[in-house]
Amino acid sequence: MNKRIVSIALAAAMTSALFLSGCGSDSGSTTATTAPPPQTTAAGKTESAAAETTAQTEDTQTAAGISYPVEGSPTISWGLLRKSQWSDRYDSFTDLPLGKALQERTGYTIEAVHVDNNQAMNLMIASGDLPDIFTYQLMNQYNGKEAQAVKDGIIMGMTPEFLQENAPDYWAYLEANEDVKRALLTNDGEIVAFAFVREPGASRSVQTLMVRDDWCEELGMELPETADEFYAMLKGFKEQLGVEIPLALPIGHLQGALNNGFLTQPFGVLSRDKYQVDGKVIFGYMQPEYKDVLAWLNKLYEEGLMDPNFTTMDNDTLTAYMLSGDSGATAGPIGSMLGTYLTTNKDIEDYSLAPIKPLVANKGDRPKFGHMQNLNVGPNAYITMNCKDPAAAARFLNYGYTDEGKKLYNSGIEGVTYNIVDGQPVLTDLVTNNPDGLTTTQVLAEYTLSWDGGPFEAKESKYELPEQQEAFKMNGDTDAALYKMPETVIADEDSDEYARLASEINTYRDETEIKFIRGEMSLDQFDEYLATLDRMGGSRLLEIEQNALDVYNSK
Amino acid sequence: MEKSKGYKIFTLFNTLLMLFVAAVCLYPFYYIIVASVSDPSTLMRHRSWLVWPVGEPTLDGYRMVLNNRRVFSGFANTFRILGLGLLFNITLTALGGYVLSLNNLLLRKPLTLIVIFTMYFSGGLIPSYLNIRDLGLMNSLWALILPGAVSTSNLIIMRSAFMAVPESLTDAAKIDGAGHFQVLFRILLPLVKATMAVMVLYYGVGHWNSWFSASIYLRDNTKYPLQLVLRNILLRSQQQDMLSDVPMAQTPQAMLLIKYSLIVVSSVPVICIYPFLQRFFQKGIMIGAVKG
Repeated sequence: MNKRIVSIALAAAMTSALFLSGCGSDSGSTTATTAPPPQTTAAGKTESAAAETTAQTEDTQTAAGISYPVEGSPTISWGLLRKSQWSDRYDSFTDLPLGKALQERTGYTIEAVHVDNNQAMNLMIASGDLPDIFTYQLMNQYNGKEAQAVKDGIIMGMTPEFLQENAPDYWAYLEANEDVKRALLTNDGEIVAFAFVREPGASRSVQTLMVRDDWCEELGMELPETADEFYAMLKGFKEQLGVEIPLALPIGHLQGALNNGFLTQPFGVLSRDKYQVDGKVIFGYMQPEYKDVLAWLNKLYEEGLMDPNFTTMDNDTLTAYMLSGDSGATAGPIGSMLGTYLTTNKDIEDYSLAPIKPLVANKGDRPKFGHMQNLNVGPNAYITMNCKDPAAAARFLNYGYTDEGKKLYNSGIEGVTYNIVDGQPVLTDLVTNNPDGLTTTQVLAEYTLSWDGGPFEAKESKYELPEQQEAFKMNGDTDAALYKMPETVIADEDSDEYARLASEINTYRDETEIKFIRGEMSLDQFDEYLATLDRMGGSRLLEIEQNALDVYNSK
Repeated sequence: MEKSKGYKIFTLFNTLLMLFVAAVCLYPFYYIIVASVSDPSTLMRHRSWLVWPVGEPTLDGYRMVLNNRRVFSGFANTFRILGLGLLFNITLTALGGYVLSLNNLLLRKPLTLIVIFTMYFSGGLIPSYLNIRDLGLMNSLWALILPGAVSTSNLIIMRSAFMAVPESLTDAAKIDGAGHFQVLFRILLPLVKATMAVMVLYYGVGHWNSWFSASIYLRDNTKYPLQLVLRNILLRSQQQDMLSDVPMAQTPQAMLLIKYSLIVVSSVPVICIYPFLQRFFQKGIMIGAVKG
């Protein structure tokens, strides 16, 4: 009998081992895809452009030459990723209320070609079996980005004349937004995509530092603005409140926070990553001042203010720390972190989190840098070279930049998903408090593209909670637009060298950085680190980036 | 039966050690089951060992999973793939193994080498994809069944099992007038039942766990196997892309519950079958391996 039990237990153990090995590869790939470090490259000077454009768009919109629905009921095949936000309820994009409304309003018959994931999309692209149009993030997924895809004969490069004629609304938008246009322009002067673009002036900052403001209050402190105040706050958490790990920043989030300049600015480096000052590229991690950033982090580490296991901490642990009150400060996305924490703990009386601005050198300074998404994050829509009638495809894609299309893609169907209140669309109960228990995103996924992206001009995204709205506004209120690297394209002849240098140097940087923070390497060796970076080709890397920026600025 | 003291001590420690190993393997499973009925908000806050459901126990996760119609079509498709796939797998592997096990087969060595070659080198993803496309198998369940119908390593195991059967048995059958098929079906297969069971298990678990081919070859989500459905739901809970940063009340918690419940639901069938095949398992591999 006993033997039997043992053998059953062993059998079950073996099964689970078999299973876990199966699951392992899955979770491995997921962590890889969701690894946070937000890319820090985008165009500058939006703020200044923004003011002029709002005025301009008004009259260009009316000059549009296409009336929807179009004549002749054309058919268009559209490749898209099937999104799990709706795929458990619908079989195809054309079954969605959005797909139906879109076909009705544009007069096009859509044949949706769905693929499951990026890999499948990449294979479809590689095989050359493409539909007329597809929406995707080629800028991240295609080697050499969109410009290369045009050269490789996969997508169509569109001349200004072609767009003026077939997509007047889109063209008007590009004319009015020089930065967006420049990011989409190949060196041959062709536009590569119907881009996912934002209303001029919309905030593009979706990451933030966040701290337990209730604890700050308890300690009689104001929310920290400088590195010293931040340090004092963590110290207070630890010593007076007995918080185990005041600052919970797993390595990915730490790197993100450094790249976003959340923690580097007090020390005179805008970001760990590359940025530009007056057309000159700077790598934050190669600056002598970066030593002070590392010294500060090392101090936090030594004094136990930071998790000693920050290199191996995973997201679930981070969540548990932040929710249980074992940690009081972290950095990350406004939605999936700040929002999740606040909604999860909404029933807990003494729990509150507040976003804070990127840390600065002197109290009251305006942050020079912060998180800022690229202007052109995608997914964009592309016309493929397989398309028989590009003009018809362009007329279809133009819809997202008309007033009517913008409303549909952003807010769905009037009277169903939104009502106009005081001139502004307000989401209905169907969306915000769904009778079938669907989440806001799930409902929006049926009626709009606003939750995802696509060929249209998006309104500024709206967060639900006041803390989130504040974080969104606060982090958008920096001079990042002046300093952020625009979306440059590395020259063809440099791209191999660039990839090699960047990967070697980044690996070395990441490893050494951790050693400095953990005190395994003394900061006296910082000069050696800089020398090694240079020996590995750091200055060449800088040169390549600089060339790319020069080309971009001369476009 | 008299046993020495040393033997008893060894057995005691051995048993303890094995129980410990078993516990280490079982805990993740136990954790998932407990987590699937825990209150998600409390669970997210929870650190340390999970022994009992935390917070108010709930079956919401299972309710949500069973309301998801993809889960049902996923089960149906997986069983379809499993049934048809196993039929092809077993038949072809047995036939292939038999041919390669024949001593007097012309060009046996080179043939075997050619077969083994495929174990180490493959055409790569894009050529496979183009091949499937040109065969007209895109968006068809056959794309998940035919390309992997024979797994080389299993074929070798099968061949070794056949070779381990004494030649005199097949010779005797041949003298009595049996042809190849009779030798295979009447003499050899009944003798290698254990190996067959292992084949069923290997191929079966392979089909059960596979999602990748489905994710690249299938276009309609009505054809998705369970694991792909599962994967999509799990990934959704981890998505952090740009605008999706529009947050929604309840989601992370609900996703957490769904995640654990789905893992349980999708694992149950295999866990149920496995102990029954287990007894063939060790024996089967051994037979293949010793004389490999």
